[in-house]
Amino acid sequence: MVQREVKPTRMELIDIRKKIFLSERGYKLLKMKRDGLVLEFFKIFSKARDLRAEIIALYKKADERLTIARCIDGETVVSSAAFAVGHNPTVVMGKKNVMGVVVPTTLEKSTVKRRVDRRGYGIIGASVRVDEAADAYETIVERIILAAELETTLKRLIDEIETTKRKVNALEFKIIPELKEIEAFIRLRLEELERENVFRLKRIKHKSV
Amino acid sequence: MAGIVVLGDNAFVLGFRLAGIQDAFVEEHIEKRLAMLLNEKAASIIVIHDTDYAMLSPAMKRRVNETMEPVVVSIGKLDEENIRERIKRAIGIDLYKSESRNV
Repeated sequence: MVQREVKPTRMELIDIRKKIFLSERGYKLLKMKRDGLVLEFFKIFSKARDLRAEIIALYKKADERLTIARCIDGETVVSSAAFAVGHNPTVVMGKKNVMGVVVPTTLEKSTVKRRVDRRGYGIIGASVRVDEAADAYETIVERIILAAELETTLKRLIDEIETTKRKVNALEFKIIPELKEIEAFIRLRLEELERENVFRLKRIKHKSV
Repeated sequence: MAGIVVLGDNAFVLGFRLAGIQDAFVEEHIEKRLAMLLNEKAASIIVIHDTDYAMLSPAMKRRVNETMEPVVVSIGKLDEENIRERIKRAIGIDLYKSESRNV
């Protein structure tokens, strides 16, 4: 199909050879990039997976504690304690480059864990169950800040690996074989023209003699 | 703003308020509020529950996965499954399965 659109000229052959050279170089580079990305991915994969499992377990525990506090102390006590908490944890996210992939990184973060007497609600007024729930949620928030960096990095790396894999496969199985096919077609056509020319010259020479 | 925003139902939000997060909003229409926060870039991290994440439209899910300002974190098992599927598609092997076999 492609061959019919190609003009079998020497210029076209030179162009196609340039394209093959460029495609093969791009293919090698993309393959290296893909391998590099996979290495980066495996560096953080186990950390991110463990962190996710930890967050799920912590959330389950914290939710249980909060439910107990709400059941025993009542919704009003827990809600008023929650609204009395004054300290708002801050986190500043930046960007960094991993193998050409822009990923988030934590630049600054304030402490989330606080002592019981620094939370803002009265120690006597709030029960130990509220303290436990607050403590559990503080731990989750700390892990969430970590997860925000790790999981987003992981997701972006996965996307980039997939894109690079598609590019590598397209070059390996579609673009380069097609270009080589065209190159072979032009080369053979030119060789045929060359032979025809030689034959024609010989005939002319023979006739003239 | 360099803070953490939590969106969800009352039970979800209350715990995070106890942890000191003041920008914790009880929200029924998560998608609308999420879109607003993503447009305004008004937070560093947005925390949602994965059941709410599952309810988002495909376009919003894609946006949530791609955005870095702010970073959206969903809590729960569903997001893990989502990551697992994506890893399987990208790497070609189910890493979670092989790990559980090793254990």
